[in-house]
Amino acid sequence: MKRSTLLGPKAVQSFVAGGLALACTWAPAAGRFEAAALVDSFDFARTATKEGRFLFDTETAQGNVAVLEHVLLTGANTILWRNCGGATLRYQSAEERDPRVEAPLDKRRLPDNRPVHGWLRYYEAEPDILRHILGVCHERGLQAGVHWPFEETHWASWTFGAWNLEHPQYWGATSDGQVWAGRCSLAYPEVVAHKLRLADELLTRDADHLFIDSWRGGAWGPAYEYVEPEIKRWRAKYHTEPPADASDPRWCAFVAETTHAYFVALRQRLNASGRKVRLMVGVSEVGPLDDAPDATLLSRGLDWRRLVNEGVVDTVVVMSVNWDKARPFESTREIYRSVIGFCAGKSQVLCPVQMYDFTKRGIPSYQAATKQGAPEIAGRLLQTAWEEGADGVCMECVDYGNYTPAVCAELRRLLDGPCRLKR
Amino acid sequence: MSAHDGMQKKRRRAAVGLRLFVCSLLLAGGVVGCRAIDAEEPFCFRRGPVEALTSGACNDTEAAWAPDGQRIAFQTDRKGDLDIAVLDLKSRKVTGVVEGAGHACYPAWTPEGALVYAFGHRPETAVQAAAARSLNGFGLRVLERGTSRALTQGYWRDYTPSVTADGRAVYYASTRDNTENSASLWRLPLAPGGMPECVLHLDGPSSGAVQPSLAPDGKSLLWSQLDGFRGNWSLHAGRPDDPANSVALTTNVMSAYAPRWSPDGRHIAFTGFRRGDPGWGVYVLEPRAGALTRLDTGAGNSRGPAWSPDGRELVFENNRTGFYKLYRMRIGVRPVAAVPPVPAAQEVTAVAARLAVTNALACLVGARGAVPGTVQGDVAWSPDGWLVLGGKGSVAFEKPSGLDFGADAFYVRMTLAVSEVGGGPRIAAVGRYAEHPLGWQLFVNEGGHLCFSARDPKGLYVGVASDKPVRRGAVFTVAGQRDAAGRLRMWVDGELQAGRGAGAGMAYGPAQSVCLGRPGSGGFKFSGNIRAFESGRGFPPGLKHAPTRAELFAEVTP
Repeated sequence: MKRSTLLGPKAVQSFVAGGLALACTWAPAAGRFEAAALVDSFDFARTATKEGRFLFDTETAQGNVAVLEHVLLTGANTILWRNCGGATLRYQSAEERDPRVEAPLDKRRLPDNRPVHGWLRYYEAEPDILRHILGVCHERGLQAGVHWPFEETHWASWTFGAWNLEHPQYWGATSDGQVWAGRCSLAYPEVVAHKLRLADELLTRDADHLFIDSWRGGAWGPAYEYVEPEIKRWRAKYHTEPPADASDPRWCAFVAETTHAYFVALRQRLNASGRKVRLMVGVSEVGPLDDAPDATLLSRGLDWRRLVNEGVVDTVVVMSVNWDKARPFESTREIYRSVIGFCAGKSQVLCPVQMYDFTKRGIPSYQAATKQGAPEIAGRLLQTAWEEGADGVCMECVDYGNYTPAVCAELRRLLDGPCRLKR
Repeated sequence: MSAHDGMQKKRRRAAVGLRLFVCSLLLAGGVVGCRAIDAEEPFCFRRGPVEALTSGACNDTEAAWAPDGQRIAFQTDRKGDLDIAVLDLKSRKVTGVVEGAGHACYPAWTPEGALVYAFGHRPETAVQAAAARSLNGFGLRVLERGTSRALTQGYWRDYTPSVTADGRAVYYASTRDNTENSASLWRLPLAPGGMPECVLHLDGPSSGAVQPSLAPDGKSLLWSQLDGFRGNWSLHAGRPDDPANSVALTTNVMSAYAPRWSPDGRHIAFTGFRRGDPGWGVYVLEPRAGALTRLDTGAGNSRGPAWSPDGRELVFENNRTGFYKLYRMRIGVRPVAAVPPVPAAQEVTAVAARLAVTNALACLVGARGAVPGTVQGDVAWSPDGWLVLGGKGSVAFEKPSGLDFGADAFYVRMTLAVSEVGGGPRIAAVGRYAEHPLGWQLFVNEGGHLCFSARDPKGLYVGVASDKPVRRGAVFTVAGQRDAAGRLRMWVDGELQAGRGAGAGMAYGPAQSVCLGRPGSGGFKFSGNIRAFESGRGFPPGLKHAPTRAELFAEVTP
């Protein structure tokens, strides 16, 4: 066991040894093959008819129920709502209340000038968006939780967290010493405590599933971890200066120890709530689990396999796989099999059925490689996951119309029929 | 006298001497409460204790000292949303002057004692506002003799106003006419009928300028600027009639915002943070020499400094109690020793490589001779010397010398005409390096905008785009520069564009190649004509330079 800055080795060991039973308290509906949808109400906010009539007023309860209705067309039975835009939370957060979240009330945030999107105030909406919609899901018997893109600050200053802006002393720093407001380092106990308080806020809103998305990571990664606690820890361990190259595998693995300690602390926090809350971790660009350095370890400083081995997470959500364009489905199956085999008996696995194609690994790219239609590919991916023994599938960016009616019909046919129950 | 008596006398003398020494220090320097923050002796320091001005469980921020020196206006959230209040320094009485529904914020005094402020009240959701074509953005208002009237109003955000020393105009940040995550600088004459005008248009992803103020002598404009979301806020100054060509007063290594001129125009107080600081702090900058110091304000974050009219005090906000409250402190300033002017990177310009086309042969000419181009695919030469690329063609120059810019400033300039846009980005020129195969690029993006890009130290893309899409067939000259601080700028036909980039600090070794048109066998096919290409160190020759610090602050007239 490697040393943690947040929890001593004994604490981690005792957690691993004695806490696993507690850790895995969440239990899915018996045998049901899961279809988890990641929902970002922001993506629905500007959806309008050709005549310009907006379909979803996502600052209202009614608007979000309408979003839910649309999402359910995919056959989803687990709904994971986005709790934030970047690090700006989309509910009435006490933890991120001050300073004012809205531009221009905090002049360090440049205003977003897009129509509708630039004027949303989810953090003030009544009723509290997250509490309301999770409640609606529960009333309908759906599994409901939160999709938390942990440090998504990759595209606009207004997504920086209020807490970050108020605590520059914890900002991440590059090897050349540049500080940056977009990220606070988990190497500081104060930052961990802050994020655990945010988790508490999700628990009080009755989230039963907490999905930490490492792919939408902004500056989450080893490049911004040249902060004093990590540098000191490195010096103490190696008696040298840290490598200036943030992609150095030794540095990435070193940083991963701190990230790991955070997940352990989060796991303990969820357990301490006394409720059955599932902790999920999203990983991307997954290839065959061979000896090659893991992409998530290098890019995020997150060792998801260790999280699985030590029982810290309940579910691994594979968000994209590096399938081979020469043999798309065969290579996909091999990777699914590889991950499922690795996690067998230790954690659940959800496999991707993604219309979202930013990584060029989603269904549109399968279409380009195979010349097959989206419904056929979606069905084939779902069925592959089911055949290989996955616990379910994950659908990212369930935006308006992103999953076409034909795709939805095919997914529902399988989810309500041959793939209804786990294999 | 015994040995014991002698020892006691020596001790007494030593004690008296020590006291005298300390007293002389205090008398000479008046340095009560002064603590050296920097390694060198600070030129600006606190005198005496920090004094709390407001109290209570609410946040009091954005203080502005009245011209009469007797009052301080500020914004407060004591009733939930933001209101404007005024503190009488003699009685310590706080009076709400703008209250009620909506946010009233960023107060600024006129010389006559009126208050200009920003106001926004948006009762609708964003969808409702868009459907109703709402005008409920943030506008400027002025409070005179107890009555408020609107100066500006629309579905945009006008904020952080400051009134010029002569009281004739307001400078402010505004998102009016901006389309991205950005803000520009505007000016509004206060005379009846005065029309707002944009004085600095910045519009790109997380590019913007906030909190402008004109120097007391009217010769320079000061503001805080963000050049892309991966950068830090920094202070900029420029001539009021040409703020686009600005000087960065702070580096990207620190975060610096909320600048305020001292009344004599010789110093700037602002909010800043540098690595190792305990939190946000009050910094003072002597802009001509660049001397910088962080003042000791005690525990907690300290922000938003504002000068007293006599320049001897600062009021600022601090959160040591758990809420931001207002505090004041006296300060002392020592003359800053003359500092040799720092040679601006853009002053050192050297053309490193230039395209020469003769007799259907393209060469890249540099100081060490000419590198012949290798033609691939669909390339032709027009009789008047244009390189004609038909979409699948390129000309590559292997190992051109002189393009090993390191982390210093460099530029790329081309004269070209574009035949096709759309279908993905179309690369007109790319520099290939060991550090990154697309080290820098000039290209036309999907929407037809010209783009210039470089890389950050980790190889991530940093780019800027032209204000408007290019017209097909039109001939234009585009130049992009990465300065020594890693900032990007772009000019089209000599006009500086609104986009800014930051963090492009890659250190470039020797160039492996420069390619005009589609690089290698990849995509990004460029279709059009190229008349000229040039790359070099420093600043693009012939374009308007930003003034130097010495030029901009040479004649500070109190």
